[in-house]
Amino acid sequence: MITTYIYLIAYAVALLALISLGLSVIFGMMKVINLAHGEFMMLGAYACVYCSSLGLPFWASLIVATLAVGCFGLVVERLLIRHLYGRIVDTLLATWGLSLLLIGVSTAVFGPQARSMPGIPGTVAIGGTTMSVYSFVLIGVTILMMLVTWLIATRTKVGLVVRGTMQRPDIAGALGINTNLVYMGTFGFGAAAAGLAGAMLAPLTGATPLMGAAFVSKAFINVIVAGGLPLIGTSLASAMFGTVDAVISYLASSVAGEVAVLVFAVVLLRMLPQGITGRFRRGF
Amino acid sequence: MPNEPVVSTHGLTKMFGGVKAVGGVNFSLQQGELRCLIGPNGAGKSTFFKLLTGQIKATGGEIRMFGKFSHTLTSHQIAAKGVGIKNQIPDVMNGLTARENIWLAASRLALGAQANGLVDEIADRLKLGDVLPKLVGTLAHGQRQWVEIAMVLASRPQLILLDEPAAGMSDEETEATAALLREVNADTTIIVVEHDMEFIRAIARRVTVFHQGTILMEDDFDIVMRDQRVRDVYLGRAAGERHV
Amino acid sequence: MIYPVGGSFLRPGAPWWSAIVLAFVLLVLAPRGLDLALQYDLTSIFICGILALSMSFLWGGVGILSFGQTIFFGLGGYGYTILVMNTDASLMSLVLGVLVGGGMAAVLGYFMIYGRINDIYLSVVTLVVTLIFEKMVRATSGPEYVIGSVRLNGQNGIPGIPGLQLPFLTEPLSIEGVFWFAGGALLLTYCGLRLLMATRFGRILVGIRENEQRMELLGYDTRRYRLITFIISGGVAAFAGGLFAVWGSFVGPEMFNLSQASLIVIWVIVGGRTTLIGPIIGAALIQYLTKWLGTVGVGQVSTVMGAILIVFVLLFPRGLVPTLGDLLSRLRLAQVAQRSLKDAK
Repeated sequence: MITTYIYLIAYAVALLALISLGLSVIFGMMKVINLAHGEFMMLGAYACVYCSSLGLPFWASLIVATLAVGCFGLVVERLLIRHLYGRIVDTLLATWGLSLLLIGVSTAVFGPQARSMPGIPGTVAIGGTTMSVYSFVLIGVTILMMLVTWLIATRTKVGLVVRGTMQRPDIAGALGINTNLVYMGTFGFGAAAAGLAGAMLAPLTGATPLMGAAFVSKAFINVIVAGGLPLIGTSLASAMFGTVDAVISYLASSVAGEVAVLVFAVVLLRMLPQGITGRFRRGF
Repeated sequence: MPNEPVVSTHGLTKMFGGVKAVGGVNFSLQQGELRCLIGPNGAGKSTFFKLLTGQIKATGGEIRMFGKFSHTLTSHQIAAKGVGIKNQIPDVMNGLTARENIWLAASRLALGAQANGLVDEIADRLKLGDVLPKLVGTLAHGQRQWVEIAMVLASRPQLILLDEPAAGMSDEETEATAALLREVNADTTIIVVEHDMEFIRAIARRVTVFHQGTILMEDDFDIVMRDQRVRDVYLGRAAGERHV
Repeated sequence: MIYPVGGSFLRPGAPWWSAIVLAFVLLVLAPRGLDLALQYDLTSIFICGILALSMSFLWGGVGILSFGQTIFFGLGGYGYTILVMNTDASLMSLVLGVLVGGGMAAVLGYFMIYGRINDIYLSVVTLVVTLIFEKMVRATSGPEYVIGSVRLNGQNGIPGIPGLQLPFLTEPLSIEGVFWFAGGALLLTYCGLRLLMATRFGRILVGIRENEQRMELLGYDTRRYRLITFIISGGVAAFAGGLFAVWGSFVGPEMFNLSQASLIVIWVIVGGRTTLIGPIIGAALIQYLTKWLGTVGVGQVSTVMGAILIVFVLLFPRGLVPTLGDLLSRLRLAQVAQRSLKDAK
């Protein structure tokens, strides 16, 4: 019983962190929720399925999908987001437009039916609970991704520049940092993280044009409650909501889990309107 | 027996992290006063102003306004008690005309034709007639300050709190603002946070000097100006800078 | 005067009133010249217009951008349906449906507005709420989900909703009757909100939209005004939802979904959020466009809608009606300038 709970909670927390990371990096930098986040994930899933159908091994497909969506993010930043800096509401609306556009185009290209791919098969039984190997892979990839993000942010010069720009873009600009390049890079990184999340989901749900919409609501809530800090905030919020979601979903249903997360989040925002890390002055 | 003060604070304290921005201030202001709060940058006068107006919450101590505790109130509740507030930066509705701005201030209490009459009366008094139909966002800085002062007056306050009303004004505008405040003071109590000495000289009333989050001294303008401690912390340093 | 000068809405003058009267006359006469299919389509546009108004009143009026007007639209529709199928009192059910939507807006709005969450958060939270409502409704397909005598039916929705029975009439409204009723409702809602914006209340809303902090320092309880506006807007959206159920005699979880939510935003952006009439025109144009796209075989409505949204945000962020209004007044100015130049010569 305890192992079941630990397993379910660990999996839900990891999944939530995985699908939120890219969104929260972009949000931390630009203070804008990327409403096309779900569609970035969807593109990652399609890329992964496609690579896998070409005979590439799972890991290689994962990496190609991540990089492909990252590049797509760079293009989107150049063509769309760049023109809207400082207009937060317009950016929000434009990313929504992009989301609709991507859903429409992918339906036209790939058709509405799901495209599936094999993941990593197999199950293990610990203490009477059957667990899939793939869920451990997902937890591992999430931890790895968080670790890499953390290392880039805190241990590299690029990370320092990014953190500096996040805190005070005006001063970073005055110091000779090309903030445009920083924004572009951050957006690309966020898109890549979304692509990775989508690619990881592909073996679970298959790739469909509407798959983004099924996951984004949790990611949106998570990032808003997390507040401004991408890594600390996302980890804390994912831990909290992942636990609520896992327990309620197990006891009642997955819809009940989502409703519980939503109600919890709305009450929490009444008390902490800027999110958990909204008042933190430093950190990442 | 002295009258009940209009504003009083007791042990008012505000901490920012580990820094004591305002440390246990006891302050009181009588009906009909025009008081200037001065002090060097970082003396805590602006924080004190924000505490009085409910824009930030105190860490400790209490504030009374018109005899009632006000440190638990939000700024709209304080304003609704008859307090006119103007922050340092012109804070107006840039997308609306000057008339609309002043009308909004007037209409919290005045209704219908009364509100419109009040707008015209105050615009007349402040010689703002020409700018009334213009969008406030298109006005010069000094004019926007005046529109905001007009808004404060239009709300018919019993007590006015102004944070650096003369900032960014030309000499003429500064002088006119001082004259206006003296005139308004005839029936309204006023607190002004300011560091422009010429402006304070032009008002020349009682002055409270802030230093490092506490009140250094409180007396008439001339006496304060002659005080050695005040010169040391404030004027002295300013004079010193001038010699360099 | 339709377009506000400065920022506040002026009290409408004689041209506006004549336009309203003309619209009423046209509405009364229209069914004689239109066939039933067209009446039926126009009715749906009227309903979309009311829904668009609910959003533009909120966004243009007080500056709250709700992405989840579909929450109230759906609740209004489901509320009406469940009540009317249980009680048969259809007008009463329509009113109660509005209260259901308004009540939900009160609860949700209280938490968000009194918590002072940032505007972007509010937009996204409302969007999430509507997505979760959709999922909730879709999860009710089992026979245990029954309210009174009505099965919720999950993603299949509830068909066969009885028509609207007005007092003093012997039969439920026909297609023509619903056309009149919805058209009248749209006109009245528009007039009501437009006149409201010209009152002290409406001007205070515009002040809050422009600078909430300054309004607080003037002594206005801005959170109360914002919440009241949110509730009115929720009620109007729920009214549209009830009418939608009357019109199609069907409600389904699609009322809450993402594409419906995005359509409302697109109507308002295309029409122009700073006016109330703009979004109605936006709704009419976009609904007409989607129908036309369907008939010419372009199935990918979502692609077109996404492109429209992006183009408008990038190129015409103020929307059609304000942009055209500007153009007209600039033309008029140019004419006047030319004339005075000629006079000078």
